[in-house]
Amino acid sequence: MKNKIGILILFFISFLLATDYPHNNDSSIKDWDVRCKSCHDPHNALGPYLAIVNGNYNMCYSLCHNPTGDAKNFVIDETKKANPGTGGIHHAWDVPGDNSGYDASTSTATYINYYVTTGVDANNLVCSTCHEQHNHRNGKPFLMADAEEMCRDCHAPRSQNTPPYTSHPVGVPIPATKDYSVPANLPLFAGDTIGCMTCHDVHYAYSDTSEYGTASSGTRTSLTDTLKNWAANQFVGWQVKIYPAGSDTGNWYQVRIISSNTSNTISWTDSLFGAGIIGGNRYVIRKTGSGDGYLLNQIINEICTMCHTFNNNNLGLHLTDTTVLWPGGQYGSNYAYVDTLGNVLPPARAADAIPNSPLPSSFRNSCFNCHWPHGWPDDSPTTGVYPKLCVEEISIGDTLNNEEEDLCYTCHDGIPAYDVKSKFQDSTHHPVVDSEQIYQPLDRTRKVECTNCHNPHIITAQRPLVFPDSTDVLIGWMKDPVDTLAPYDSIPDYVTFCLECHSSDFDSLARDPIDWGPYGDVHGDSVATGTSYGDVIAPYSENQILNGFNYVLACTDCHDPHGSPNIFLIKTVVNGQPVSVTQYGYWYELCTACHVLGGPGWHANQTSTDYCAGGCHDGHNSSLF
Amino acid sequence: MIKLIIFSIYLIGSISYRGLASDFAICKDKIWVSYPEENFILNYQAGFKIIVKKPYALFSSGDTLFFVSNNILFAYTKGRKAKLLDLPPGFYIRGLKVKDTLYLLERESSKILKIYLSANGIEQKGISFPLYKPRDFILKNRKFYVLERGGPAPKIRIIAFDLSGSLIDTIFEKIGTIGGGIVFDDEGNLLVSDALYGKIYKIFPAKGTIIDSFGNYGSDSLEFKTPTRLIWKNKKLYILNERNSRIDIFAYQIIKIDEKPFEGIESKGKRLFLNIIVPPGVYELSIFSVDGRKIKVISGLNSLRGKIEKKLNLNIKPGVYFVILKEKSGKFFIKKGVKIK
Repeated sequence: MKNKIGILILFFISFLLATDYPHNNDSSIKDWDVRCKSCHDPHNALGPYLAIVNGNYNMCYSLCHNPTGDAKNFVIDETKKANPGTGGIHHAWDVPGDNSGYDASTSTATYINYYVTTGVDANNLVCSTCHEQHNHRNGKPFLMADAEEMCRDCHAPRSQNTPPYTSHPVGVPIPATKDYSVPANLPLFAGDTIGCMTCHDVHYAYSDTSEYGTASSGTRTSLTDTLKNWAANQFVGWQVKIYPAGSDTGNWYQVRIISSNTSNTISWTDSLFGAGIIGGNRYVIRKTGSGDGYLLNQIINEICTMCHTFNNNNLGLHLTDTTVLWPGGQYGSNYAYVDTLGNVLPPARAADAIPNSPLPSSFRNSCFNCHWPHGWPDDSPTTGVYPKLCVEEISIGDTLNNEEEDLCYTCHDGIPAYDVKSKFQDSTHHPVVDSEQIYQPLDRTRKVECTNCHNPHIITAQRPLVFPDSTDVLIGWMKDPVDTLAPYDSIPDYVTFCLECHSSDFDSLARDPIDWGPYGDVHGDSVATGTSYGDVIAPYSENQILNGFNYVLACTDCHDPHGSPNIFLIKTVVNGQPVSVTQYGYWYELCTACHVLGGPGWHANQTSTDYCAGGCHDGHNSSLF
Repeated sequence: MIKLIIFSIYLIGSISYRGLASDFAICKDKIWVSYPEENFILNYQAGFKIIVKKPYALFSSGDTLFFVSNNILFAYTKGRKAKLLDLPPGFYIRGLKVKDTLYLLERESSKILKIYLSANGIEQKGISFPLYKPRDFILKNRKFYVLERGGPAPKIRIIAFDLSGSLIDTIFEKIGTIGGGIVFDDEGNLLVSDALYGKIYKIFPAKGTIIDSFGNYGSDSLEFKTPTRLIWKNKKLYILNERNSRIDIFAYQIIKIDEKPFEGIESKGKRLFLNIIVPPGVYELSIFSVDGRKIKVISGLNSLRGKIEKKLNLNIKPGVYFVILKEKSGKFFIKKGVKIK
């Protein structure tokens, strides 16, 4: 009796399910002869839904999706299940659907079906967790729901479209600013919207070079895209995946290996079924391989900058300099996780990784030196992830946290990069530590962190400054005397930049600025040499007649903005001369780095070799500065 | 009178490889494994690859390896690959050579292509069979034994034909599953793999009855995930354990195998002394009865500097057992029969 009821239910359900190509028989495209009883047995079923065998994937693979089966072009290879960081090109299956490491939970998902909750495969991901194998009514190929929706359904915590983000945003358009570009070789949704599947795919995701396009025309063994200009046979051995188009029910998600290509046509030998390629078929050509398990549509180190183009593709040194490489967490973060084979693993695979590892050299100047796209676990508090998807504490201007410099310090503590950290520990230093910033009533506009001056994405060694709200590196009109640029080249406009804060708005720090104009004082654009104030030392002795300009003092000619053992952040070396100023007014070493004393003019009778402030030079507040 | 037939088969070794192989052949004691998805054929022992697109129908004769790629039949011998002939378009999945004749099974049109190699050149002849998605075949006593699916509803069906393709008889049929490969043993029994359920059946062909079976679905010893190709050679049964990425080797008697020597295991009384040279790693040692029951498992055996040295006290009855040593990741897998006194 029980069996009869089962049979009746099966036949009733089969009418509702209505099978689609190629999981049907008598198709006009090709008769695969897949019938109900290919997978179901009303009398001796061992699997759920009268399936002939228990084990959903085993049935799909062993019956058809194997190298000698009917679906030999869609082999779902168990040895290529994704193991993020290690390898794989297919989303994993026969693994728990609830996995907090990947923010995955099928048990709380919306699209729950039998396979999620019941039977031998319960609680595990299997083919039918995502696929409704009978028809395409919810999406091709045989999907339970729209693919993007399904990603976000299971990985719900990563479905974020409002800041602050703890995972890369999805469901948001590419911002129309010069820091972003619409990627030519990543898929977007609704025209300009980023989704999970912009970066990832579910099957045949090799995490390697991919090229997207739309067919102009084609046949059953070729595809032409007249917009392309490829090198001949550059894609031999690569895979082409063709997205659905038109009314041909056989025109969907075909996958073939390319046997040859011309400048705008790719060809393969195993004919497509149905009418073949038509104009409008979107496609992606992918370099094949064993993948890295992250299931990316492009190479991991290149995918970010396809959208994040920063300042019209003028990427800064952190994204171009080949010496930039994460040395391993130093100040609390345990990033990066690298296994013994040199694979970079995600937080979910901590057990397989060596924490605090340096990134392998293949990650030089990549975004992954500072960021992890789904957030890296914060060491304190341990319940969240670091802000801005960073891998260590970072200043973002809206929190108070004495560790906000840790990300920058990880490299900028002398090894491997310029030691800024010890500068901030000198007797005078810029107050980047929060406790030093709140000696006046807490005013967050006074907050200054590394990123308030330096935008790490676009700065260069020569152009290290960016106004906090700007997307441009700061370029100035002043000429560089001895610093990092070639002589006479423009240096950043340090004056404007520093005075942004060091103005009268900050009364205790207010300074009388130099009159930088051409008719102002001699530290500005006025002629500095040959005056009654005495001679100056090269290169400041060069003048307008020789060069068409005067060197104008930048704040950084005398001050080290990070820190110094001297008072007022005065540099220890000015114009190539060692300078020590530990008491107010003892400017002698500082001034004589550029000025010749004892000659004609006011300093003809100068005898003191140290104290200069006695009624004459009282720093920036003096009219004789 | 009850006649009891005891089917004893011993797992005498396994070779593990990486990736998804769909076929293999044994050529002059060398095992070749084909990877149509990866476009190469691997010489397992030497680690050498023949780079070729979509290799299928791997088989050997003497020191020559044959395979089909893109409707071309190739022969590989003494390090050289040669094109033998262009084939009619099709999906050739199995092949064999008997004397001067090659036979290739074409799946889509259910044909066996018969190819004569003679001094006068090469002649081809197609033999059509009324079959449904044939998977494997073998030629014995001037009969073709073809493994097929039998129709849309999966079956393991073995049908015998004469050399002209005329039906002789249905030898065996089992519904609800599909076969992966067939082979005859030295005793004239048919062995067939059940690709769906991970079993191997031993069939008495005259009556079409299952004499016995072994194996289960899974990844452990004596377990299979999609077992397909079977080869009987030198009194040993080689089984392509497709999704477990290994070839399991069985025999009706305990015999030493050459593929992976497994030395350094001795028993004295109920003690087992291990002194095994193996790659560094963490190993698990399992002790099975000859009928495949797992008796004991010892985990966490570390190979320090490439050697496991350990004395184990086994509280098990005297008898013959086999011992399987498996590296944690499955990269290394060896087996030996031992007698516990």
